[in-house]
Amino acid sequence: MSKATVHVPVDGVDSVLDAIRSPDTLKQWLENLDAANIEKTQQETGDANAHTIGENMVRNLGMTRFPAILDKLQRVPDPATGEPPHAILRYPTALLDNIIHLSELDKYRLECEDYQGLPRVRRQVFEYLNNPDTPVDPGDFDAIGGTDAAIYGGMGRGKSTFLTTMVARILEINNEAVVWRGTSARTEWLPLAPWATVVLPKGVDATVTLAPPNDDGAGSDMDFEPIKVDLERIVRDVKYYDGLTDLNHNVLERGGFHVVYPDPRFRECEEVTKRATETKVLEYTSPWEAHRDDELGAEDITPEKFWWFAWAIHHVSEGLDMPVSWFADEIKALWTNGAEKADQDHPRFIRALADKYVDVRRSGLSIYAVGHILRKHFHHKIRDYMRWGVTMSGTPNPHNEDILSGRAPMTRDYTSGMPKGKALFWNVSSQSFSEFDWDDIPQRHKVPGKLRITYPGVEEVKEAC
Amino acid sequence: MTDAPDRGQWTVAGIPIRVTTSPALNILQRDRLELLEGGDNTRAPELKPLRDQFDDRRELINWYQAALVRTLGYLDVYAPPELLVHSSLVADGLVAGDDAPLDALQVDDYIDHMFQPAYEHAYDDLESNSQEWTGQGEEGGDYRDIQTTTEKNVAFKPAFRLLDEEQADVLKAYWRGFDDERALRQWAGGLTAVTRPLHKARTWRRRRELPQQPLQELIMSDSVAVDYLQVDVRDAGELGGEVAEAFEYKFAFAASVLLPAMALKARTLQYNAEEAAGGPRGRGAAENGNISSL
Repeated sequence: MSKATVHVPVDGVDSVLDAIRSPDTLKQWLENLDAANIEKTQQETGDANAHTIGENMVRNLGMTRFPAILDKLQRVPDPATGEPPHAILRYPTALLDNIIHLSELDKYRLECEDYQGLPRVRRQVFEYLNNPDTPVDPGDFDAIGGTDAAIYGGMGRGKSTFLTTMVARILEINNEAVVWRGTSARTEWLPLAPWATVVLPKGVDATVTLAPPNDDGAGSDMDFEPIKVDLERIVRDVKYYDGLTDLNHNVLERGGFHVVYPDPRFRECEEVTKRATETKVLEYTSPWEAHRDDELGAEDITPEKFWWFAWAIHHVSEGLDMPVSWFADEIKALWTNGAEKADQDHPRFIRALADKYVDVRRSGLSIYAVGHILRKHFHHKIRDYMRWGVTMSGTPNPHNEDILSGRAPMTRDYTSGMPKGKALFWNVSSQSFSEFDWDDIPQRHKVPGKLRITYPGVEEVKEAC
Repeated sequence: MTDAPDRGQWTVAGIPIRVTTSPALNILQRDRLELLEGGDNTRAPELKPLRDQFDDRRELINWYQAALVRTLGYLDVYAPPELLVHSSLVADGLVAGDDAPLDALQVDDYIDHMFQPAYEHAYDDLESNSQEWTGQGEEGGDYRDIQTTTEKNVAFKPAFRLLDEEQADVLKAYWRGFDDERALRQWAGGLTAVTRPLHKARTWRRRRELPQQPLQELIMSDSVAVDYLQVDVRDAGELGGEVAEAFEYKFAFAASVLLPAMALKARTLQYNAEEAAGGPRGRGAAENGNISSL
């Protein structure tokens, strides 16, 4: 088999299956996965005229540049009417308003047609909006500041590829910081490893291991023990933060793709919620505190994932004036609608974020939360504030009912019968919706296997409590 | 050349309409006569005609909502609902209160100078967009098949009938009040289906002071609104006191915020007969292949 048909960047390997049979070849695959010309991006060189990480990501993933997508959609017929343009352009508030993030300053830029300093794609998108011959104009956009989306659907419907595509588009169009919720259990961000800055808490030893993909039906030759890998060789950069302020002010970079892991020490978390107005004070107990205090046991330790509530509140109340998009996969872990039953403190964390939600948007924080079941995995206190939903194919979309912060604009089920690779983007504020689809990503980026980042030291302290 | 229609089928409250070959125009005329003269007791809530005057200002607001839809939103341009608060000439003349003059001339004035221009603007608009049904062509429909006495859809457009029903339901819940803040929030969220955000109108309503937030935010961020809007004001006239106070607030809020936002929705409604069941709220279900649109 010639190398041209094998899309795996590993020497001497004939097939994808061969590549993942051994831990070394899998590790090589990850280490060899690169992004052409990433060293020439403005984030690497500091040259504001250079292309951005987002533009680089789109090019390397084989995606069409967004201005070209807009042009194409003008010629594609809207199946409901048989006439162009596509629904995405007819109803800009359904999808475009969600992914083209505009600040107050951007509104002035559009009014004055002054695009100085903007990266190329963003400039071309703004030119498209201001072009009187195109069906979309700036007045069609309602959202200033951050947006949000409750993204949900069953497994196997292309959700991972969709999220990869969304991250790339958000970076390409907005050149803003993207924060991906890092968890030890999952690494859905692996296809984007060449662009990723992994952000870890300072002073906590982390172990990074690579494990083979799950394969219940396979024989023993597919199985191997997780092996340690050097993170610096797999991702674009590794950075460390010392508290929320350090993270949000110094580490997060405009236009960067950050995979952020929570701080098990919860530095600044309680203080931030004390300083923030209009929200409840949240109490955080780290494993070390529980270990030191005889009256506290392991059951009093705050789950690490609850750090994210303090992070969001910090961004809203003390963050820099820098737009950020947060991608939170498995949102059930944070926003489950069954929080009241499981843990008496969990609802308090949820309520604290809900109290700040109106400011979330104003602070330029966009939240892309991903789950499986809308009403179960997205707590109603937060869900009731959200404006956009994305229903994946194979799951019925809401219709003729109140949902999120308003009423579903759809009057029938569109998504149940849709094929994989399609979904529906809908907006309850403007009562619009639009189907959309996305391409698969290149095979070489579909690295199987799981990259795990864990803190063995923290586990030891927990066990000692 | 068409046969002369049977005139008896084309009257409302004994008043004939000017029959045209466009069902939409005929029905718009029907709607006008129902608003002014005959009313519509098949509508829920019942549509009382303007000539009968109203028992209270709540009925006046309800009538206004129906009139905004039936004039395709143009009544908002010629007789802005805010006048109901700021001009006693308008409100008192239309409501038959205990000490308000039952003055038919005042109603005539309102119709001649405010309602009629709005209606004529709607008629002109519809005339340039409506189709003739002459029994020929692809559809083969005949205008005589669409009767003023039986056609349910406002302006012969299912989307407008749907909008009318939904806006009327919203007002019904509004007067009834809400059990708690959560119920109020849900109702306020539902306003997006029947209104357009007022700040979108700034290009053609420059002179007015309009709220710049989506309605749900506007309402829920105002503690006074949150308190008053929860109150059941249907018996305000009899109960007095705090309920009467809440009614004054609700009347002013409805006239200054709700009705203008409802009017904008009617003005910008995109209607399509094929979307009768779903109304005009969006498109999107594509059956073609993957076009990589993201």
